[in-house]
Amino acid sequence: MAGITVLVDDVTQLADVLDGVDAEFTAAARSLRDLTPEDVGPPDVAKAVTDVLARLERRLGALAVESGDSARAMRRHATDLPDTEPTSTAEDKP
Amino acid sequence: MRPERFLGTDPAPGDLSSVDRVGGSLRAVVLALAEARLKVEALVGAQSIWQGPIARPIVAALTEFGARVRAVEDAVVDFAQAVETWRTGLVGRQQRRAELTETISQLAGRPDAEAERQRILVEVQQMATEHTVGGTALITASDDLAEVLADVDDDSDLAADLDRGVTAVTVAVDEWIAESAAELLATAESLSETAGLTTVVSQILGVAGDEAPDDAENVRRLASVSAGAHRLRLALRRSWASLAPDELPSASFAATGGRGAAAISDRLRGDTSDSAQGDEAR
Repeated sequence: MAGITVLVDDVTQLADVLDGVDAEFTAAARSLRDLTPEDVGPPDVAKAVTDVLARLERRLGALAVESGDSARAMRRHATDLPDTEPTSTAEDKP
Repeated sequence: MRPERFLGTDPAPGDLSSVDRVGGSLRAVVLALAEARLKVEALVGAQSIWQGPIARPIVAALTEFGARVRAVEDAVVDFAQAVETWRTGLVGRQQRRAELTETISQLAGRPDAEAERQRILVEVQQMATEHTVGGTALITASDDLAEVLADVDDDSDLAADLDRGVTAVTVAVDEWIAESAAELLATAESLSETAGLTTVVSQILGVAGDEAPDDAENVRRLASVSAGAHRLRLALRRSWASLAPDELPSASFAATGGRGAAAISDRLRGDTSDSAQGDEAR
């Protein structure tokens, strides 16, 4: 039943990567949150920049949520899959 | 020195430090997007573990997600370049603005400098126009980024797509294991009644066995014709099915009793007593 064990590892790796992607997007969104671009130029320019940065922050947040949800879904799969090949048993221990 | 006081207007409004903060954040966002995209792309690249038709939905979902991230990344890069262009223009205009403000301030109270004052005010007007054009370009870049962000598909659901994909792979692996396990078990049971299985298996798999030289020819013959060997080949190398003889010969080989090693079927059942006895006999 090594195949199932390998699949658990593969799905767990998938979840790990997606967690990493979630962290990247979350950090990126946070870096935009504290910006105050209201004085980057004349009012119409500042408004356009402010608006689009807010949109970008929301999009990054949505990508982070999507990645995080996917990672959790993969972890549920990894947990549900039977780990039928333990690396050690009670009998193995001295 | 406030430019409005001497020039009548500020021809180049904008806070450079604020623009720099925006530029720095955009660079961080681009790096984060690129890093995330590379991680996703690595999951489905040439070295990916997710290969073959059964894993295709997983690959498709991750590829689509990577493409969406790439679209945002490219759009943010374009916008960051527009901000950088705006910054470059802002620096130049504000530097010139400071020079003109200084010059015109020194002309105050000098009626003979009216022509020079007018020349400066014309240049200020040109600078204001230039600033407006630069601002319009940045507004356009903002609109372009907003459009891409709006176009990025909100209906996509990576979690659901991956969930379905992994479920399909799990089912396929379960089926494969069930199928192979039955074949292997049947093969092991069959072989246990024919010959020294451990030696035969090593021959079948192309691994040199530790059989005595006198046994080598018999082992090779056994590996090539035995019904059990054929079934094991079928289980382990399913594409070898074409190598099976039309009619499998009857298994009539000696039992393993005197060879020392326990049959695989015995080992599968957890019975290693024969092996222990054999080891002692050596």
